Amino acid sequence: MKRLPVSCPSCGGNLAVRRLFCEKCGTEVEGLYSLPPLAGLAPDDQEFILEFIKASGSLKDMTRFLGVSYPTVRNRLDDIIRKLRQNESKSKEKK
Amino acid sequence: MNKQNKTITLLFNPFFYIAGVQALGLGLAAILLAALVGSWGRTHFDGVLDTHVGAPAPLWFFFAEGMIDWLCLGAVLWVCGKIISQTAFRAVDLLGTQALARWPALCISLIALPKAFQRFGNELLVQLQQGQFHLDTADAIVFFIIVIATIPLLCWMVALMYRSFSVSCNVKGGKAIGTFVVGLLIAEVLSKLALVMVMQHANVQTPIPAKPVASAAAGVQSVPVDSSTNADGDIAVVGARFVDLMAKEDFAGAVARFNSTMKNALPEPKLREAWQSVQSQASPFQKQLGTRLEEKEGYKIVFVTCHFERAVLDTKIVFDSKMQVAHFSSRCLLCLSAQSPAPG
Repeated sequence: MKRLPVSCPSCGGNLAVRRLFCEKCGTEVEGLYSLPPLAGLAPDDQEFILEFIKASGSLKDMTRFLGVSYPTVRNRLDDIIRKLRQNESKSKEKK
Repeated sequence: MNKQNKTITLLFNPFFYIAGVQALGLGLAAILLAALVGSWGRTHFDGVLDTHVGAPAPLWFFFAEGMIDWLCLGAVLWVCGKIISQTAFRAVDLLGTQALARWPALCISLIALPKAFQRFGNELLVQLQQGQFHLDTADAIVFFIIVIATIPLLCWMVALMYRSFSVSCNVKGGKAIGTFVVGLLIAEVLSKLALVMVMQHANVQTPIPAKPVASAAAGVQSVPVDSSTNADGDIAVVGARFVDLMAKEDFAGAVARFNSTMKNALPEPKLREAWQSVQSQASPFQKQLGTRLEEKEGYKIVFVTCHFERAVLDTKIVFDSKMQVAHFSSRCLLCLSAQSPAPG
């Protein structure tokens, strides 16, 4: 399956969902839906969050899983939090 | 990450992989090892950014220098991190990575081991004071190669210190660099002050042993000053007595021990002037810490290590075959203002 684009290739703005499709029966739903906040992150950041949840939110377990130091993992998490906040404030500005 | 990138990261940002207690253990081992090797080659890390050679000191003092440098910078950067970092960080990460960042000091201690380096450094200072230049070419080449090699090692150490600060406190960019530079300068001053305090404290409560550790490693014989078994012919005792005369300001007695050349070159008024100049720079004379002997081209040389209130000086007295003083000079071993010429 193709990677979900999260920003407009033309202007760089945030993308929203216009159409959804059921893989089982083929029903199509049309409307205007915003993407969930995590979908606004880069794929490797999404993967990091997924592993972090699987590790029950333990940074120490993440250091073992990724083979990097504790501050490296914590800094990565801090960067993701910062990106989420930025996306959140952008969405609020639009509204 | 490919193998080449990983090697570069390990060299310039090992804290990507190692931090916390692991880095602390490795870093402390590196600091202690650098101090031990430094004591063999008399390489002092007498300040966060300083490297100097030539001063004999007990082994514990070399360890104290390494620990003071590490703790001063660690403490200052912790405060800086608390001010500018927007996230909570662990002190053990900062202190551990700062300890590990000092590991190039071990390389500096190792490359400064050749005796030619110390010999040239000492001679250069003495000859600069006397305005004469008769330097050994081979020693000079070794000296300059080591000085040049030390510069990138010091830069590497500073780069590692910055990476440690950046990774541990999660700070980047111009603000982080500016804060780090200010912190480094503050830590440099603090470490110097702490080292002076340690020196003063040690003189009150922990007498420095008469036998300097570094001189033993250099194969130089050491003799306690206040040996009760001394004979009249014991040249170390003669040297110590000569310094005693100077300390008592008995310059006539000191000049009486000069040979004819020295009597002409350094008569009593000039000797008084020279000694008073030393006293004004290093504060009053306190006591002798130890003596050591060397023999060069038929001359017997006694080095008397003297403690002044704000400095430790090595007084070099050269005796001719008639046991008369043929040369006399002093140089600063441990002091804030006058260091032996060296990298750093």
